[in-house]
Amino acid sequence: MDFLDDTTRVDEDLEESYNDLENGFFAAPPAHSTPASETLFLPEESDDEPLEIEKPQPNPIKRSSPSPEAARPTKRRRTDGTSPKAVKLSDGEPSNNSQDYFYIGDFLIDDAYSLVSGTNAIRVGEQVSLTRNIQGVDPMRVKSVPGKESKGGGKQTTLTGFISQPAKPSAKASAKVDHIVRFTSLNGSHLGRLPVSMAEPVSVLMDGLARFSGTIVEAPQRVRTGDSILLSIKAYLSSAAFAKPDITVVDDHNQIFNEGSETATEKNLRERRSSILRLFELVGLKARVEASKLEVDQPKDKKDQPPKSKKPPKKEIIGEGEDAEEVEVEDDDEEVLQDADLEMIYKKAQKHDKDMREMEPAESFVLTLRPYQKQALNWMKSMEEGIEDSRRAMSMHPLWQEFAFPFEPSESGVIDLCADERLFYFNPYSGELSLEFPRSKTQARGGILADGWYLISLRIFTTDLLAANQGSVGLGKTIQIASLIHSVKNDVESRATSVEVKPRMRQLAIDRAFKATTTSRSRSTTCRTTLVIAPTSLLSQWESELQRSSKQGTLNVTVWHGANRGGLEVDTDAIDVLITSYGVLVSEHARHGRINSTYRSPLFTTSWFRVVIDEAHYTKSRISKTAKAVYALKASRRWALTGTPIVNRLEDLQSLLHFLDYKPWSGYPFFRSTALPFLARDPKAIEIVQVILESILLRREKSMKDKDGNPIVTLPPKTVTVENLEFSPLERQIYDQIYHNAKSTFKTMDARGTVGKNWSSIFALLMRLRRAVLHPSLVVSKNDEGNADRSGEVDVDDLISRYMSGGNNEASNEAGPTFAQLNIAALQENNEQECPICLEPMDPPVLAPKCMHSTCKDCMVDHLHQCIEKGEDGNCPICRTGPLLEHELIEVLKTRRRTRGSVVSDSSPEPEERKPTSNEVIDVDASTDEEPMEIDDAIREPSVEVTYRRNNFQSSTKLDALMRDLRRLRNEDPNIRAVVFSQFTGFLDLIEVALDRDKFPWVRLDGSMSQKQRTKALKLFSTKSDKPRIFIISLRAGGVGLNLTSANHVFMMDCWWNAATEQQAIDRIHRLGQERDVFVKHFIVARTVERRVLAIQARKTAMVSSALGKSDASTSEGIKNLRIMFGDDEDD
Amino acid sequence: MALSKRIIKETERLIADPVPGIQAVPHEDNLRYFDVKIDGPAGCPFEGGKFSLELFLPDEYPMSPPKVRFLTKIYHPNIDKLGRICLDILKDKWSPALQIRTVLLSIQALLSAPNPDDPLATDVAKHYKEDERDAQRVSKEWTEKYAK
Repeated sequence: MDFLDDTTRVDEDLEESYNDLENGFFAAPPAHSTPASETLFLPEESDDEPLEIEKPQPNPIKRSSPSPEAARPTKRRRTDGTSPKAVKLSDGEPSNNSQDYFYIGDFLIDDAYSLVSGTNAIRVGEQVSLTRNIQGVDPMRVKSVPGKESKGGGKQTTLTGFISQPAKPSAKASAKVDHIVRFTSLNGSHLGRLPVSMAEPVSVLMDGLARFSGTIVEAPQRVRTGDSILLSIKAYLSSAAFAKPDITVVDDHNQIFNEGSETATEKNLRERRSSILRLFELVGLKARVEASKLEVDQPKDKKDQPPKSKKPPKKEIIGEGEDAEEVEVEDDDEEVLQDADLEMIYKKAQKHDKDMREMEPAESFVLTLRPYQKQALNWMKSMEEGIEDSRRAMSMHPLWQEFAFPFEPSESGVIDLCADERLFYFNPYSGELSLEFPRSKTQARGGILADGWYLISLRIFTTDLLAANQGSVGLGKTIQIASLIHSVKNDVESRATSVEVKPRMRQLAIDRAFKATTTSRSRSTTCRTTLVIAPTSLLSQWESELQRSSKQGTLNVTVWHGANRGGLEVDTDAIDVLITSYGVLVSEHARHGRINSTYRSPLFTTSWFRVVIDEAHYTKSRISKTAKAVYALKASRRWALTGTPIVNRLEDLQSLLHFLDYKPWSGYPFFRSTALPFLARDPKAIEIVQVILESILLRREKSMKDKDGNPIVTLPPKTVTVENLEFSPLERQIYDQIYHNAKSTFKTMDARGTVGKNWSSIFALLMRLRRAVLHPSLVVSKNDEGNADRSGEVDVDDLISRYMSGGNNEASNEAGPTFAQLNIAALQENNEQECPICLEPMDPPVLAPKCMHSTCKDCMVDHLHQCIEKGEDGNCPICRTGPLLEHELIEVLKTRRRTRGSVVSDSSPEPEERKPTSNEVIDVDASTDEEPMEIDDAIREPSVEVTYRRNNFQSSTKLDALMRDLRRLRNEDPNIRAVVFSQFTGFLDLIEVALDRDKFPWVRLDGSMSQKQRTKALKLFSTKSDKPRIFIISLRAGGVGLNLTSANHVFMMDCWWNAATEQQAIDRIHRLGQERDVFVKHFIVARTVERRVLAIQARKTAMVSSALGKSDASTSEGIKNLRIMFGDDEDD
Repeated sequence: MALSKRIIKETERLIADPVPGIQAVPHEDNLRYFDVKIDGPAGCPFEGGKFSLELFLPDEYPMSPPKVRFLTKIYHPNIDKLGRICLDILKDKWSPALQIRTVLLSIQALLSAPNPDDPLATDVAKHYKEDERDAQRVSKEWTEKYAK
């Protein structure tokens, strides 16, 4: 805490502060007694000047002269005081100013020290007032009172003589000077100072918040400078303190502040808050009532609870049992308790979730809701209508505490409080004070629907990461919103019955729009339309889901999208749901906001009945155009749907709150005041975030249980396996080469300490390594790292090109006719031939083009590698015909074709299409058409379709493993549906080729595809057919909204930095609607960077977030992660 | 692994379908190690002899050749005193399509067709080159002496 730091610093450098101060004093003009005048002083170096005396005037004095020490004022200018730095220096007398002061208690200061000396210089029982230097104003700008100056002067001079040096103009010095508080006698003589530990809170409070008067309780009769004085201080809060702090000032121009930097206002608020807390602690003021955290959960399940009547509560909260323990929380214990019940709050919320009332959707909604969806509907409804709920209106705002003003013991005529106990309220989180009862009110009518919210995001900050696989996607947010749309309609609508709604044109052209129906009334007043904003890719899904869920003709859904969308005039009585994209929203907003344009976009002139933003994390950056456009929407009910309310920083959430207009957190500065301690892992702040979230967020996870203990959703089991693969020797060589280059680069940087500056290049190195794991060709083009010494090292490029040597050496295809024909004929037979090398059936067979000898592909390739290793040309292992190159081999691809009536268990994927055109496929089939069938001709085996192709596609370990699995699956189930994820589109390209070669029909989805193409691909994939289909998806493009439940096999070709992303991808398949068991397979190559990525995943820290984040802590974390990556210990 | 399967398969076949005049039995404790007996082929100085050899299949087999050595002393230009054999298929001409059976057949063939131009035991080779009959006589003697 800053507070403490300052204190300590002041303590250490007490002398310097003396110095500053005294300099100031001596600089004061000797006699200057005009009250309330602006005075300007120049420091003089005269050191015989006696002690400066504070003037004892009851009247306020304006002090606003510029400081001679220019550095000071700018540093810590306060904005909460009245603008021209007016401070009342009133002492014990009541002010004639309009400000009122409320006595809140007294406290003792036992180590104030005197700055005067002499017998009876300080008399016990003397009334003193506390004064301080005005912020940013030089300390000596006080008037000296003639005649008092000589008091204690001699002593002072000596002191000054020792330490009077030019004041240090440093920020440090200015910070120190800030908090000096002196006490003066009623006649204005300066007697001494408060100890530094007290000075800060008191001085902050004196800036317009409070006033203090004191009594000397004990002092030595003969006092000397520096003697301890015991003071009794009475504290009065000024009425100004109860005004709402000016926290929204910067909100409008918040773009000028960097995200992450604390604004001046914010800092000010923080100091104010801690000072008030300290004051309450000093005077022993305790909260009478603290609002229960549980209150916040109330909206969800309030129907189940007995009404809690809470007049401005005089007593502890009467509520459920859980509340009781939180009531009498004292400030001191606060932290512990709240820390401890963090988890409890969470559990409570979920427990209530189970008991939440269900609600039947309106009749026009035709789908059947699951119980948890009905609960959600009920919750959403109550969230929308919650503001009318009287109970909530009467309950105290969750973050406020109630205090009572104590009665002032002596009637010194300060403030006579009415005889009744007067209450006031304090928000210990924000530092706000109020005389008004702070009602718990949710301005937000709406909330966040976070199905499967990934806890991981939040927990990142608490270093206590939960396993990421909690989350889930696809619990039917769309459907839930649809049910809400049906069930809660605008009142306007209720008079116009739904029957009357006729289907309209999808697209409303502008001319049509100016029909009589479009009155200005309907535009300015709330219409009944729900506006849905979704990513472009999900527009059609929204439309179809909404249609699917409603009775014919009950819901008029309009999609407003595309360049030729035309003008939209909302005929508010006609459209129930208007769906548009973020893109449209942003461009409309830009047009709408253009200064010299008269265009007013209907999106922003209409007051929508309800606005729903899907994938709301699109708006996470509050300064993005999208976010601003979303904020500009007018709506009475707002919903944000997202799987990740917090993507990677807390500000993400703030943006949602802003959209939801959830005060006070919707304001950025205020939000930051809670976010800051949150980043510092302050449990209180975490709690606040939890409270906020729980009050407006409905979270559903697959794993959650209903009240009977059953999972809210039952999904078929999911089996995840990780297969460890071994590189082929050549791949290993390539990989190791790249790895060692990268490692030495990193080591060099690490040694020089320049890692932090080279994130991007290290990242590039890592990406390169990860590509190399997938397929060597993925790194071939990017060999751009300059590594100086490669003496004696094998050239990577050479290796790779050797690996890839797909050059077009024309194979002279003069096959030895007789043997070749025989051999081919043999291949044609159904029974499998034995490989002469492994003595197993050949799988798959390859032919040497010159001699037509055949072996297994693997055996042949092994042999050829062996030859190369020996420095020879490759040759046929059987007849030594050479040279034989790997890519010349002809692969024999057998696919079984179903013949009439034969057994079908493994039927062919598709009739052969032959492409003898390219080099790829050589059709030798024709040469041997007659089948040399053997004895049992009777049994009609399924005939075999044989295709030959060049072995000029270089596969890789991972690709082979994938294809092997897919082939196996195809044998088991001819119309297998599988999804293959990779984050590298280059690898997707290779997978395509491999799939083609093995005759798997595939579809693909990646970021480069248009909306139309995506829809088409999705449709194709989900269409039932008896062919296998493989969906290859870029991990990043496929993370959102897709529904791939028609597949039940998932292959993860590479691992992402954080497990949550992978999990999300898998949940595309393992989600509602999945009826089969799901099998997930991760391919990992042993002894590569992938193992280490997994290790990082296991450390539960997303490297990306720390690598891209700016904070120091995360940077060092990132470096640690990198050290894992490039560490020496092999982990397997 | 397919390749060690291959060893099993080969062994089975060697036992089930032995080559006439050749006998190869794996050690019980090490299936890669074989005791081999080869009959001297008819019509050569080694006829009537029964030669013991050891054969070892390295880990890389069949990608690298088996190691074979005569245990019986033999007077042959391509086989040295230690029993090492100079045969191309056991060296650079190895092919994974070859098997134990074919290797042993080759060795048997080597006995009936010594090749003194590519010698291993130089003195024997010299002997064979200068006076083949006398050399064959010695071979026969050795066969009588050691390989019976």
